[in-house]
Amino acid sequence: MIKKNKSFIISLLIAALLNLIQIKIFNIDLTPDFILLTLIFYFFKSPALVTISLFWFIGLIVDIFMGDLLGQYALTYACCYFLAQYFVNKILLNNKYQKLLYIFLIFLSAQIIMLMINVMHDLYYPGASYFLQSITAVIIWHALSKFKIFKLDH
Amino acid sequence: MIKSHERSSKLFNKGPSLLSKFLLIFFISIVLMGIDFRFHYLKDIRQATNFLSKPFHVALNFPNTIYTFTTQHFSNQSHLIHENEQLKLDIDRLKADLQSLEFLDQENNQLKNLLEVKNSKKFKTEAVSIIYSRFDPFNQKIIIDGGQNKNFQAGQPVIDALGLVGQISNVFPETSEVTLLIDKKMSVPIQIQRNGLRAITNGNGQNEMISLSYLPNSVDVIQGDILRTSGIDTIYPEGLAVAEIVEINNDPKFSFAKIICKPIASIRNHSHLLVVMPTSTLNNSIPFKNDQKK
Repeated sequence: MIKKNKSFIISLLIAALLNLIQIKIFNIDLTPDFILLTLIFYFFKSPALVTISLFWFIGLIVDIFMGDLLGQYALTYACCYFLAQYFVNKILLNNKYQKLLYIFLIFLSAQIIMLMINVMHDLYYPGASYFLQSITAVIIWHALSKFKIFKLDH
Repeated sequence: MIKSHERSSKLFNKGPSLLSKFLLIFFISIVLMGIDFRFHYLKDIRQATNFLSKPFHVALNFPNTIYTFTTQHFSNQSHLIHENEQLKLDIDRLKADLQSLEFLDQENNQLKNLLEVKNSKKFKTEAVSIIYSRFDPFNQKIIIDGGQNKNFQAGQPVIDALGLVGQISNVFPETSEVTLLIDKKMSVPIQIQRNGLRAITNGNGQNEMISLSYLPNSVDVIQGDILRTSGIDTIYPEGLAVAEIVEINNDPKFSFAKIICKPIASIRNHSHLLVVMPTSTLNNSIPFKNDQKK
C-alpha cells in the first residue's frame, strides 16, 4: 500500500516543508496552504486514492504540528473534499480556466471556513489581504500545471 | 482532465454516502475543537510528538548550513584578516563605552541607594537562532532552537540588539515557540521614556504594528516617543526598548486615544535572537497564558 503511494507521501512531505517558508510581498503574507494544494492535486490525479477520511486524517496531523485548535485543519480539509467531490460531476469543467476558477473557489471556501473557526474562538480578523492567499494558490497551480510531471491528463 | 468515468463507475455504492460521512466527520471535528478549546490538550500532544518535526527543522536549515559552510570555506585570508582587525577595533570601542557605562551604573546605584530605591538587577541572555516562523495568518509566532535542553521556561522575554521581540509561550525538548510582540494576544506593560507615563501595549496582529490601549484623549504623548518596559510585572526587565509612537489619533468621538506604535526591534529580519534568562529579581516569571483575553 505504502509503496504504491510513495509519490503521494513524498509530495505531502515536500508540501509540509514548503508550508514552513513564508512568501511575503509588501508585508502581506501570501503563502498558500501547500498541503491542501497537494491534496487537491491528488484528488484530480488519482480519485481512487484519496477519500474524505484521508483528507480529514491529514488535516488532523497538520493540526498537531501547526494548528491553534485540534480539528480546525481537519474540518477545513474535510469540507474542501466534500465541496470538491459534490460539485465535480455536477458542473462541466471543459477548459483550463473554468478549472482554475473551480480550484480558486475550493481554496476560498477553505479560507472562509478557517476564518470562521478563528473568528468564533478568537474574535480576530486578519484583514482582507488574507484572501489573497487563494489567488497565490491558483497562480502556483497554474504555473506548476505547465510542467510535465504535474500534468493531469494522460 | 478529470476522469469522470472513474468517479461514476460505482453503480452499487456500498457503504455510507458522502454526505453522511461528511456529517460524521464534521461532528467529530466540532467535538474535538470544543474539547480542545476547553482543556487545551493540543499542547500536550504537540509536546509528545515534537521529535517528529526535527527532520523538517534540519531540512529547513540545510540551505543556510550549506551557505555558511561554503562561504567559510572559500573566504580568503585577506578578507578574514580585515574582518578580524575590524572586530578588534569594535571590541576596543565597546570596551571604552562599557567603562563609561559601568561608571554611570555605579553612580546610578549610589544615587538609588541614597534615595532608598530598590536596585534593578542586570540580566543574562542566551543566544538562539530562529528555525522558522509558523504558517498561520492568525498567529504571529516563531520557532527558535533551544528549549528544555537550555532550561528555557514559558514566559521568558526574547530580545534582539535593539529591543524587545516577544515572549516564549511554549517550550519543547529542543525548540521553543516565541509569541511576537505584534501578536494579538501579546500585551506588554511599558513606560514612556520622556515622561514616565505607564501604559500597556497590545499587538495588532496584522500590520506589524502595536497599539497603546486605554489612554485618554488628553494624554501627553507625541510622535517619536520611545516606549520602554516598566519592569513592574517582574517578567520583563526594566528599560528594554519596545516601540516608537508613529501615529496619534485624538478623535473626540471615542473615549480613548488611538495610538499606533512601531516596534523598535526588527522583528522579521533576524536569524539570531537573545533569550533573557531569569535572575533573582525575575524568577517569578508568570507563564504566558494562551487565553489572556478570555
